[in-house]
Amino acid sequence: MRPRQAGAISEEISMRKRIYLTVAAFAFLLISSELLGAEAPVIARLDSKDGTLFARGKPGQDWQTVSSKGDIRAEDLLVGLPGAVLSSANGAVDLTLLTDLDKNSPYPILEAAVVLHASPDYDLDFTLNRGRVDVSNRKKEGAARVRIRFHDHEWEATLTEPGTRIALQLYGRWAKGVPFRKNPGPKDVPAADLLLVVRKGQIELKHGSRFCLMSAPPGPALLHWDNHGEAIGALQKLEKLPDWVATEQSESERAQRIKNTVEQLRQQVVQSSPREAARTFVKSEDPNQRATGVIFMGALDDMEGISEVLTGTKYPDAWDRAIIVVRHWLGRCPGQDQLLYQGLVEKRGLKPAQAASVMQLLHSFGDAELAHPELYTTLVRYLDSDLLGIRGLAHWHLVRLVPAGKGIDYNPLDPKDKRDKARDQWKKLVEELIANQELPPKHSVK
Amino acid sequence: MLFASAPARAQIAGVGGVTAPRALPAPVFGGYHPYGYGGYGLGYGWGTQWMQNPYQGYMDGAANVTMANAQYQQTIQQAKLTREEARRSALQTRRATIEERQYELSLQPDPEKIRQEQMAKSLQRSRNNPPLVEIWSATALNDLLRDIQSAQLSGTSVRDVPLPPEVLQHINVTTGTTSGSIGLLRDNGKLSWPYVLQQSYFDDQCKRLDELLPQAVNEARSGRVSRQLLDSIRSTQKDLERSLDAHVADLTPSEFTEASRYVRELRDSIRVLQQSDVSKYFRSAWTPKGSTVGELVQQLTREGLRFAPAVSGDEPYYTSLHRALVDYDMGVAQLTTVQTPK
Repeated sequence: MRPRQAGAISEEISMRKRIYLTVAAFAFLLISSELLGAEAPVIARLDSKDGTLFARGKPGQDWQTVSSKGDIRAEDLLVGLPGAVLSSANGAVDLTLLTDLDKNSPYPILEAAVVLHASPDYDLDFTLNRGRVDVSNRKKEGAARVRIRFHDHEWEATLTEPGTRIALQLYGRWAKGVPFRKNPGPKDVPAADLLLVVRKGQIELKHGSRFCLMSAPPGPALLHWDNHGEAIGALQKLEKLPDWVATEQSESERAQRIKNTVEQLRQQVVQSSPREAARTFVKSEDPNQRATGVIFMGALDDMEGISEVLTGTKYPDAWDRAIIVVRHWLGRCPGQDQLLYQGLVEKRGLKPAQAASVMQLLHSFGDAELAHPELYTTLVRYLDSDLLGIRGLAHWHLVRLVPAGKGIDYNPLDPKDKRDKARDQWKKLVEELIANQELPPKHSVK
Repeated sequence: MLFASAPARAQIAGVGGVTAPRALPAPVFGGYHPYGYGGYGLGYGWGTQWMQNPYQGYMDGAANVTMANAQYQQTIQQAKLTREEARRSALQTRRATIEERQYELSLQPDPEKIRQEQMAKSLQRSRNNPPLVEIWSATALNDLLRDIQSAQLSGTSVRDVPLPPEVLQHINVTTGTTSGSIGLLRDNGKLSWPYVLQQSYFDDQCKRLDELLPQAVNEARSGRVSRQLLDSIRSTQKDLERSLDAHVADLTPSEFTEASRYVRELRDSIRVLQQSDVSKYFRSAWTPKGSTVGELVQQLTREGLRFAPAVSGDEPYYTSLHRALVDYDMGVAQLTTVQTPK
């Protein structure tokens, strides 16, 4: 062996040794941190009041109320009341959690949730789990770098100057006519849509291999992504900001009412706990508090609480709201409907066919189903069901599909004899409408 | 004169000239006091501070009488005018009433016009992407059929549209005497049960119908279905409906809807079996034929048939036929539009 070759071999051996040592050191660090239960790093602070933000480490754990100026750790799921503001650890970026106060948003947002990640390369790195958030550059000078994750995507946004602000909205739901499947395929997923609007300033956005410059109106201010079409659409120029964007500034009567109720909820949370506050609110005499309580339960994944509302409330509006919240919950991401189905079978003891019926009624009907009169007679038939969930959901659909029956006093929570009378009225009405060819409704079935 | 008013009575009395001057009221009554009495009264007043020349009183009285007479005439004339005005007003009112009726009628087309307008609207709707329910119930198909039939009868000739044979195999027709068709029975009465009705709960009824219906179709081909056989079929079909209703809790809404629909279509087909002309439904003449839309429409016109609603499984073929009918009918519509200005 020549000396030059021998030197090369010894160099390679020493390099391998170094690699093995590095890997071993990493492995040791990982194992030791797991064993010691090391906490995730603090990467943000809450800038808004106590009781506006709630954190949970893992599914099934209790929600913790984050105190004002309190620490926010990486990887916690964070759910915020409208107006909750987080500030990144370096103070460069603010993240505001919002909702749709004026009911004018393109998607019916009920709540917002994010997960923050530790990442030295970005001023803020977060996953938008659902809902509406705003991100602002709070630096005194210079750009702020933000990584936005949602579903399987990662976007990098550079908020080029102080004061630059973007609005993001992520919403998912089962599209009309997509049925529940016990064994879903890869394409059986809820439709998801994300909107990004530049409210102020300019941003440089990198998504995948594409790069674009966006600026506040008038300018290329809007970008729309979805998981059911072209994935990401072209930049859209806006002459002015859409009304829904500045939702937090709304002075409408509805917005004020919601803000007041949310503040009452916040105070209740501070006095008790998120879970207790939601349960107190759903039993309130005030319909605004009931609605807020049910939405809050959904946001906190408190399906047990929702179930109690569905089986025990004396208020039809709370029942109706609970159904809407469950439908939102199912649409958040793939797999939610399987979780609920399993819960109905394993925890609630429903037969698989009954659980499948509930799930099917929590989805919606397609045009082909709506075009047959049997759908309407089937729903009337289900008003007789012994299961509250089935008869309630059948009624929930009937009043929407056959508005002529809105005046019929059917309440799924009423005793059977009272329900039977109302059921007979429904039956008579639906049969008459079918005979007169007014059902299926021609205007809505395309 | 009992019914005359107080002032009228005063007038009449005054004319007679028998009333004592003192009995006349002071000029409170305005226009009624003159008639010359005041003149006489004043004429007798010699030696008082109101002394006058005797002729003056006489002349005054005479003037007053003349003036009163003129006023009387004027009043009469006014009354006549008022009466005339009232009469004119009544006439005007009557004329206005008649005109109003004519106005109403002018805006209300006759029933035939309304019917034609409705048909035109319905045709327009059937051409332009109608709801699925209207295609599958054959409403849209029949609107287009009617329009194409009119065009064919008037000798309008347009480019024909081909029809795949498999489409026609799934198209049901009817004479219009019943809403049903033999759609489910077209395979010699052998039913193609949907998955949900293949469950064990429904075994008895389905097997029984599988035996009875081919027999009924055989009988139908040669004339009429026997009453006994029809009774058995109807009774089994009702049992199936009851069984389905009893198992509602075991089925999901979509399963129950699908099964209910199939049972309803079965009921409609059984209704056709009861008709006196049932044999024709199974003959070649009443089986939709033709390789183009034009030929199909000619056959339906010749046999006096129209489209019947789709049964389970026919829907895509109905949608396809609708597309073909629209293509053909748009040709007719374009031709009509081009010809109209001439």
